Amino acid sequence: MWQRSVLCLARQTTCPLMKFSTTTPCSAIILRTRLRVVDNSALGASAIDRPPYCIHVYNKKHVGKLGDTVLVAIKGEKKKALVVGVRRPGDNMTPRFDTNNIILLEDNGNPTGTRITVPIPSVLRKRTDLSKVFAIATKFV
Amino acid sequence: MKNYDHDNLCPGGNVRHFASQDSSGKDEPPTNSKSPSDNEVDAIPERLSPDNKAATLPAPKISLDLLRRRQAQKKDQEQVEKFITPEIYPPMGRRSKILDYLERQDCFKRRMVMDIPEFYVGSILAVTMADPHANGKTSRLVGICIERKNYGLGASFKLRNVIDGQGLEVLYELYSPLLHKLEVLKLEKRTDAHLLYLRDALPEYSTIDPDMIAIKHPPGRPVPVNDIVVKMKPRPWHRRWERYELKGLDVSGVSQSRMATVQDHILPEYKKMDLLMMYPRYDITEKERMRIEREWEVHQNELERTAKKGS
Repeated sequence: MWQRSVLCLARQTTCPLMKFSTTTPCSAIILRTRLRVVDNSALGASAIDRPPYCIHVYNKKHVGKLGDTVLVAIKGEKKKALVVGVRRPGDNMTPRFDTNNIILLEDNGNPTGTRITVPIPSVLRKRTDLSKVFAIATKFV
Repeated sequence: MKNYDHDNLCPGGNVRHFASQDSSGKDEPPTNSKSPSDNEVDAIPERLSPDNKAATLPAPKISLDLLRRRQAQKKDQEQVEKFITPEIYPPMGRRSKILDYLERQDCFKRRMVMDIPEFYVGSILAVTMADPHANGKTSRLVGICIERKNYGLGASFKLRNVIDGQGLEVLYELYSPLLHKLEVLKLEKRTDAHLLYLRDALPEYSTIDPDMIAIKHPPGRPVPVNDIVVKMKPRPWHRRWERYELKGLDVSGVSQSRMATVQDHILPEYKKMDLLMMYPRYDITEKERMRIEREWEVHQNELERTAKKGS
């Protein structure tokens, strides 16, 4: 785990001298994985120059899957976020995205933004506690 | 497919032979000494002459261009190979023949219920799938097929599309009971066995309009091969694609030092041609292959019969 995160860190460092990659692109959401905010919140839009990265995954495996909550570091803040799209392939017949997508959450679990700009997987809809997220979604795949 | 059979069986086979004999003279560009009308007269009997009826028939006025086009079409039709879905051939290895047979029969049973059309890597498909959470209880996805894999009931294919700027791909199981409908919107082949490199290509190459109207493929014509060369995003990529001998990929952006190592990872020509190396790959015997083809033919006939009954 430690090794993997260090390798991932090495790959993701934006140091201009380091032009080689040490691993194949790691698609799992683990510590220090950089994520993409796909809602229209102001905080997410302001973090384009420096993407947020994962600092904790709220499950026992410590690998973020679809529908997991993660803690992210964004613009010097700690924020909770919901994973709405993953790069790592899951079950068959469910979509695999090109980026790891998150939407930011408030402390009480409500989404910060008012719209999700990209499609989100339809399998997520079996979660009954996320109705506020589905209300702001535009498309399901 | 039907046309192809017909051509082989009917005495018209002679026509082809006849045409091929005379083609040497016909393909030459018209010389100056001959007027175009002379050419016309020469060409028409050629086409109609298997029974030497040309003398009795009034010579129809067909332009030389049209005639050539028709002949080219006919040639194409002769070249069309019979399509057999790839997943019914068992993979290499020691396998139970009876189990394979039963699995194939199950595939055919599913094909009797759901229409699974002919498609290839590079074709554009639309899949309608059962979705208990959707409004109409189904969801539809349009995308380009980037990979076909696996044998029998486990056969699968991957669709890729870019929706709202978000690239996504879904792996569908071909014989899953969740699939409702499989439509081919554009029948096309590519020069490579898989298109997984589209993940690292510019998004315009995998962007497909979800409301696309199906382009009908004329039956009996060969499937067109799209030899497009895609431009890639800058590195890092998912894999080192330059090492995979892919034809539909522009590797001009790859650095010289990287390209220098490519040759170490490509199988040398003498090994590709080595019959002993080939031997384990061709695991299905000719007899087995013939048997599978016969099973496929029986299934096709049965499909036709049920279609006639239905109509």
